[in-house]
Amino acid sequence: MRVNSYKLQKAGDFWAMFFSHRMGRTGFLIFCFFIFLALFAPILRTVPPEISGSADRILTGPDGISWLGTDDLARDVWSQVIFGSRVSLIIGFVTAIITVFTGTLVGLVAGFKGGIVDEILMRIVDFFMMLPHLPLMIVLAAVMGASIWNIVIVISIVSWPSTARLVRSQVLSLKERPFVEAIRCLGANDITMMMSEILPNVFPVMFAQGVLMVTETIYAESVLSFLGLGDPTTISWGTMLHFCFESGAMARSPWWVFPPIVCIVSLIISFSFLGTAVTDILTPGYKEKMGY
Amino acid sequence: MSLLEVKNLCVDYEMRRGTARAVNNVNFTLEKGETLGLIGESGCGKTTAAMSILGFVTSPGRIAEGEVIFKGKNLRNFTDEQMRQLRGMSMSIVRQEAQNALNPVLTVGEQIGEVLREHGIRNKIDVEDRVDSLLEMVGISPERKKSYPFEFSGGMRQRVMIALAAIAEPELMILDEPITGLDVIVQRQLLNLLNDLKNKMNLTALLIAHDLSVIAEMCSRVAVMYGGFIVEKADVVDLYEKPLHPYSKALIESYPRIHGEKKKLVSIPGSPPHLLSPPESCLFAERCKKATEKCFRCIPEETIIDSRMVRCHLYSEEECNV
Amino acid sequence: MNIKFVARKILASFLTLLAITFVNFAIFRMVPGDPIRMMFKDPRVSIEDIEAMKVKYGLDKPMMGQYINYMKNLAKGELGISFWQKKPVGKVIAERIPRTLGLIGLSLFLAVVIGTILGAVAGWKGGSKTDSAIMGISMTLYSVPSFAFGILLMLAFAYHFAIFPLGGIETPASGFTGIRKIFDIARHMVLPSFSIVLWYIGQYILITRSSMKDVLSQPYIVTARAKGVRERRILTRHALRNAFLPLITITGVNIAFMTGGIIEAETVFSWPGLGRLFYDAVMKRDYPLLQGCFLVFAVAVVILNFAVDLLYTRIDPRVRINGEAVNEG
Repeated sequence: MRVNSYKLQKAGDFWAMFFSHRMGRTGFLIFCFFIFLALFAPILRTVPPEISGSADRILTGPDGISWLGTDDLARDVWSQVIFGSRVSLIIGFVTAIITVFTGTLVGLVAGFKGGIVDEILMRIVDFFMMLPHLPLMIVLAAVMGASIWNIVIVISIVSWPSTARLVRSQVLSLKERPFVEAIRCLGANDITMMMSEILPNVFPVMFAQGVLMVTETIYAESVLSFLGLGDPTTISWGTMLHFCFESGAMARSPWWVFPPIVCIVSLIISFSFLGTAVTDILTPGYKEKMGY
Repeated sequence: MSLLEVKNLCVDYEMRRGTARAVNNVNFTLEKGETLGLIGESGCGKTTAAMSILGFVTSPGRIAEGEVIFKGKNLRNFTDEQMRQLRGMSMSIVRQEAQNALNPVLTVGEQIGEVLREHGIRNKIDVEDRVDSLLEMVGISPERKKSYPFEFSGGMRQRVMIALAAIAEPELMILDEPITGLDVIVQRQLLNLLNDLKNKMNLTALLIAHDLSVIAEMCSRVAVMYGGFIVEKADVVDLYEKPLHPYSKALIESYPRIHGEKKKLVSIPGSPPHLLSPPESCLFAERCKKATEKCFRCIPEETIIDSRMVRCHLYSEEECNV
Repeated sequence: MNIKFVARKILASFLTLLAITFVNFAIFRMVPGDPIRMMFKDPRVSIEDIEAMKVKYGLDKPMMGQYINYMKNLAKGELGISFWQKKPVGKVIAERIPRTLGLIGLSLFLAVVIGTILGAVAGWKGGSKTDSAIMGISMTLYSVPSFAFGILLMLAFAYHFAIFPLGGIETPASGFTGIRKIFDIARHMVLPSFSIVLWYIGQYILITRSSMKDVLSQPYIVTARAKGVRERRILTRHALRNAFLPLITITGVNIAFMTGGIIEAETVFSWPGLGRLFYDAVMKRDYPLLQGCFLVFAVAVVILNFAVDLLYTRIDPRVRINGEAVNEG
């Protein structure tokens, strides 16, 4: 899973390779499907997701009014599912951007400065990686209170170190490369060098890591929400499962259980596939192996 | 009967964008006790040719044509198990010194002895004795067989590799750039060691190098490879004194001479050919000063002149029949 | 074993533990508002009671003094009193530990054994149909949260087929003893442990596979083939052993991540271990208990990591002899 650092000569090559990669193609299709759901949720919904129906519509199976049935408060499952995709995607992307940005910054500084700065930063990273992830997230979420943005913060706090580590090792290997040494001899200062030579070569790692972070975030959000730490005012797939599990009606209402599970799993799978495709393509030798 | 006969060997690499022929119509023989040199730039197919003798051509590569006849038997008809029996026992290889060419978590003694153990020699004392004497022969104290590869220097590791290749006294030893990448003094020592072994064991060897001086140390005959073809085959001295093929000439001129008159070093213009869908012509024509119109029209055939072989239109009368 | 290496690891683990106690202390002091009021969201608790509690917990002292106080209590094994269970946190946690260890031990064992075999096969047969099948399955498994496996398994095998119990650790009021009790517990263990195995195995297979592929591309594998070593022996002696090295490191890193699966599985199946306790502490907003649970999880991760490091020194001769991994390629 080593990702090498060469600049992609042609963006066209990248996309050609991406779409001829079976996993890349499948992942992209599923991803587009969820983007579609999220974008057009207000049009696609039947009843607004947070509105309870009348008492006689509690836990009804799929019918003409509620395509995927209703929950124990007579709310529409289909609407909850499509609005849930918004929560997952937004939290996923925002957190991925925050963690990749923070991680890259720390990794760049540590790898570039070296010495005592590197030592201190890496000890902090090691320490964070040693803390039990989910328990830490749970404790933070419990202490900070439940809201979407707290969840974003909580997941970010736990997830940035792995990116920092990866970027740092990438920077260290780049620093050894002849071209970096060459421009250093030409008298380039640290900032120029970082911007012009190091950063562009770190991009592939950041990209791959970003995709990975989206999967981990969607995953973490669903778990936290399932454990009852989600934002109570916003319905996500995880909170749906939480209510379903707590209601005790799980076995009687498959239409309520399965849709959120299927959504969580397929969205995570799509990003795993995308990630695998990107990593494969950026692996040195793939291009040659495939004959591009 | 020759020990090894390679006839009309062609190795293809199937790529998405076409087929690359890495080894093209290669012919050579090795008599018992002889050392043949194989010389050429990197990427000219010399390693691929050597690996196909051992049966080491793996996907996407495949032997497209030709025969490898070892002691009268065509190795292309051998099963995997038969090839395995042969490897290590009857033919072995020393490759360029590389990080991790030896397994990092096994002691060197274990790795040398494994050759014998895997070919049915189970007696512990025999194996250990043999390992000790081989280590001694390559100049490593036998007590060090309990050490791990990372405790050795690059030169020492290469000695271990030689011991490993020589322990079963194979009939054929392939030396694939055995001293490349090491420092000059170590190179000298290893060359002496290899020459010693050759005399002591009456080895038959195929020596691959990109440096004619290394070949001259060990071989009487040499084959020059270019773009998958053997373009010239001759005695080392003859080739050195009077290269026939323009490429051989250029190759010799690009290396400094230690003895004799000082000459200006001349580099070969242009770059090695791209083997993916090559032109149906002499592959060197683009870079050749003496190239004629004919050279761009068809591939030259092997021509025999004074018991030397050369593949060049300058020496053949035949017309292109395309 | 290399003394220097072990000493360094002990020191590092000790410093980590120290830092963890501080984090554990600090997080619960960061609670917005008054921590004591947060602990008792009960309006019946009077101001005097809260003041008394503050003095008792030393919350009237400055931060540093509070931390020292906390450490002193920790040294005595006092983690405070659980509001929910009205018992010392230490005691509540202690009775849960063996149950969680049993569950995780079994699951981890199964996941590692099955995962190694499948991952090694996939890596060894790289590019084949077997490889892509194993790859596809493990990527799918990897994408399913442990709680989702739990729910699916529960719906299928506890509700629909009713082969296994819905949850808990034993049949209530069954009065089973001896071998029947053990059998009863084992039956209760099946579903939770499977949801952990399924959750972890995907990732484990992927790691084993990539490690195996990496090893198989190393020059020493070519050397072994050129020596005429049998394929099976190349796999067992040359490839697997080297593939294990990064695997052990990654397993160490993953321990911190594994805690998640346990909490999820125990929650779904009401397995009365530490994970379920953690969930209950969150639901009941029982902060002393939550703090204690987090500390136990964190300390367990540090200890297990230390154990993994020791194991590594035994397997890798480079670490055994030099005290650090020699970077070769």
